Amino acid sequence: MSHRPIQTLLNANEEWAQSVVKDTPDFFSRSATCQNPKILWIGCSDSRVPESIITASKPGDIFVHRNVANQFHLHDDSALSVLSFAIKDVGVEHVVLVGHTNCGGAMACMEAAKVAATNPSASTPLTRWLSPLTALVRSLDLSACSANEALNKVVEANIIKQVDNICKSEPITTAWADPHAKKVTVHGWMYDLAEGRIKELVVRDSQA
Amino acid sequence: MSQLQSNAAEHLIKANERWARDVIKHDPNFFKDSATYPQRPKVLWIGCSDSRVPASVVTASMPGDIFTHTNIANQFHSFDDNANSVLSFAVDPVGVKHVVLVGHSVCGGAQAAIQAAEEGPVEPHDPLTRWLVPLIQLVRTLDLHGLPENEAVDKVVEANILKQVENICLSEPIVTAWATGNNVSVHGWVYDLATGRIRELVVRSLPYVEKRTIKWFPYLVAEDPSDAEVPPNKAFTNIAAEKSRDVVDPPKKAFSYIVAEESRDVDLPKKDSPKNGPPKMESPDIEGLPKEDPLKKAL
Repeated sequence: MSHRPIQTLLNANEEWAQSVVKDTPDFFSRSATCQNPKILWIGCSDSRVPESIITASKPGDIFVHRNVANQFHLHDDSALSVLSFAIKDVGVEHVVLVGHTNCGGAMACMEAAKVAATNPSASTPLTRWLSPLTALVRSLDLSACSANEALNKVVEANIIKQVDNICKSEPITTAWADPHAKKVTVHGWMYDLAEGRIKELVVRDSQA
Repeated sequence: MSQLQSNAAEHLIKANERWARDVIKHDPNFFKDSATYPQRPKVLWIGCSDSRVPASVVTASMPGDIFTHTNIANQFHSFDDNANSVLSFAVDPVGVKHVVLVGHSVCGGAQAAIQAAEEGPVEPHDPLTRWLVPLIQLVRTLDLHGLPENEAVDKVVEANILKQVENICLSEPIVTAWATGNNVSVHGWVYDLATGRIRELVVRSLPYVEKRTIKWFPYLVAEDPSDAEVPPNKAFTNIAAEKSRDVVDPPKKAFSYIVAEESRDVDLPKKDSPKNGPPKMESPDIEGLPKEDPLKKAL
């Protein structure tokens, strides 16, 4: 059993830390005192969309939650606790929900939508996790679309849907109802793997 | 006012545009390839949402290297479909070979759990409190009496990492993988914010697979051919070997240290570089944005 990928990561971490200290000797000692990110990124676990690399960000810039197919379910304590902590304790000003082209989760849902609804007793964490997205796929008319167009349509509809869910969540409705609370904006972004570019699809704030 | 507030998000999109142009300049096919071929990361990172521990930055990784899940206080609960679906998807079909559970010093979630444990019974009336209940229970099992606050937090952070590694090892995807001879390994790491270093606390893998499968079940040792290039025990210390590999691997080099590449370019005799900073830490030079030290701005 080779542990080379792990050893490579540990070596890379050591080199990176040395180079940071060389450039800014007190960077780490200061970063240990507090964080002050302006952004909460809710994105996909896909390895090709590392939030801080594709936005050239630094440690301290982005509070992050990533899961399969960038979902935000209103019954999911994991995502809800992240959103709550990010808004109420950390004080982020922007929540960005980021989907991407060629999303494996969206592809899996398109396959699942072709067959009859799965027996709940035979469900797995992954099928349960993707069942809202599979239901969303079923609600779309993809008959006139090529496979690629259909996938893009699902990815976009998914982003809009998750932005809706975020806007309905307690941390956001509370922040928007309080005129004295810090302003928070919710964005829906699409990352195009073939271009490397982020495109904004939707922005919502307390005025919307 | 609204102008100022939209800047943080706009800044990210502008920085992304500049990054993408840099990548294409060094590797014109990079994005086209990444959209054509499936991802093949070897590592799943399960870490904290904390902004100071960006997985790919602290490991100088590239797009495609690390499948990632982050939540408050790097938890892995057996009843959490969010984390379990990530682990399941990562092990099969993505096929990662290592799961790393990464905690970090000065963790706000650990601090909150210590405080809640001291305050007595917990009313899990909101998602964040419910999320932290297992960690609060873990804190109650530890003897933290007489410890200064930072040592108590360190102790909770380490116990939390070991506990979540246990949870991962008991999860269906790992149990199934090990039962079918897939020797995916599970690591517990702690990232020290004050030094920027990762330290390995624990590694778990299919027991005895190395010795026994080689003798009795050689087909189970399904190594990726690329892993055979460097003997495992040497790879750990042999940074120079890694570097020389990078030199003969232009695409990897090009996009792993884009900014450093540029710094090196301007260091050539034709130009003077005022500063040769570390990779990824340079200020994105974006038109229309005030030029300032990104580190000072962030701190």
